[in-house]
Amino acid sequence: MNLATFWFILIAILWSGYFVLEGFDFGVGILLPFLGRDDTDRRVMVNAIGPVWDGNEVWLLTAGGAMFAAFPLWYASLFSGFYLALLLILVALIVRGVCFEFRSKSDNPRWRASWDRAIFAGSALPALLWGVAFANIVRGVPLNAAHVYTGNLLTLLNWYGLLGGLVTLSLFTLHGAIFLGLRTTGELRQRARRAAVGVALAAVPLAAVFLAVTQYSHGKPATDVTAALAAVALIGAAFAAFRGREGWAFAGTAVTLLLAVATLFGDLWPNVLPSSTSAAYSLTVNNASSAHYTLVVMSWVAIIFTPIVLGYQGWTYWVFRKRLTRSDIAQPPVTGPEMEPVGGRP
Amino acid sequence: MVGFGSLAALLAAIGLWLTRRQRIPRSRWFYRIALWSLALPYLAAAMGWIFTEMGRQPWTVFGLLTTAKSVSPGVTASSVIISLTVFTLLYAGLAAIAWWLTVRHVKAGAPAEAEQTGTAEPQPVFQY
Repeated sequence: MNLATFWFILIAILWSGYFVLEGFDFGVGILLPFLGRDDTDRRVMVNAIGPVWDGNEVWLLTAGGAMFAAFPLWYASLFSGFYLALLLILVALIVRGVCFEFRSKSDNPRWRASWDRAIFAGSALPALLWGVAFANIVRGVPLNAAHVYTGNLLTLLNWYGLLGGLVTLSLFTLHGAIFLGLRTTGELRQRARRAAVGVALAAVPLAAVFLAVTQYSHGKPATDVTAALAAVALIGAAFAAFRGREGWAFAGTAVTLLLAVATLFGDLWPNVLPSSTSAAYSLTVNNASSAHYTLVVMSWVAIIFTPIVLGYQGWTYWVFRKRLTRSDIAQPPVTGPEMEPVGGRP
Repeated sequence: MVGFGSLAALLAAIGLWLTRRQRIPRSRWFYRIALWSLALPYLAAAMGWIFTEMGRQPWTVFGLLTTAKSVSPGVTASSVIISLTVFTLLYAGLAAIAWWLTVRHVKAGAPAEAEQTGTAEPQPVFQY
């Protein structure tokens, strides 16, 4: 295995880590207006993801950063080609991050309701668009001989891309409902469990159709196995959610997302961005990668820092492992804490 | 950038000097200057960015890649105008909200001194 292949696998791991982790906090954001009956409920929901959502986004930064450094041509074609789609995702992520901080700074119900709507939109939009983006990457996009994307935003909104979007939207919502059941108590926990079963009724058929279509047109024997296992894990998760086995259900949706990303990257291999114009114009692991020396330096950096990052992220989850109750947040939140300075030099 | 940064450091050093032997500064002028110096780090950060971005023109990577050559071929001018407009409006909106919250926070005044509860276990505070 050469270093470019190693980095392709590592990038797949980073994206699956991102979807497994940020998937549930997107899901909680999407469910916020539906499961939070009053402000206390909604604060329990926001605080359930409060200590971890921004750490989860680190996986997106590292995935994007690894693509940029290890496969600059892939990054250039993808981020230029998907410019407006990624702008929408970025705006949603900015607004969403601000919402969590701003909603508790005033008790005014209208103020909070506005931010809650923005949390819903800022969670649902990226949850949909990541699926659209990855379905299109596997399907192939119009690239010319210079690997420049020649389509536009509407090119990405084909039926297969939209199906992929609905799959991530429903899977993340399911993942979030199960996470919420795992982290809360009482009525909210029961509502989360019922929501998980309801969402699973949509997520299971959508994911099954998407995986079947994907394997039919892009499949390989190895990814047929991962796709089948992803489907089994999803059905198992839905069943565990129905039985109220929250830990097993969460493990099930996490494994589903992991294997789904593995399937998509496996189908993509050895391409990184296939051209639908001509197979000769496709970007591959070999023609899109950085020079060997860059990859060697990156590998050493990753070997040293990945355990540190995994360690402190795991520690955060351990610190906040207890279930949240309504009485935990009976007091009003800390209003107007010190603001963090903006835009320091890197 | 360097001037504003050094000025902030100098002010801090003067403040430290004035606290010798537990004498806090007695005159009001130091507090007034300290209050106005709140702007210094923001100005330093902004000036630093403007300095580096303008100073390296016409290069993106000095001596290796010109700005003209580093323009993305697949991104249209209209896309760039859209993103620039969206970011400008978004950040202007966020700045207005942050300003409103800050003014509101300042008007509310400093909280009363918290009573010392020596033996109580510290309770986790949920931030949101």
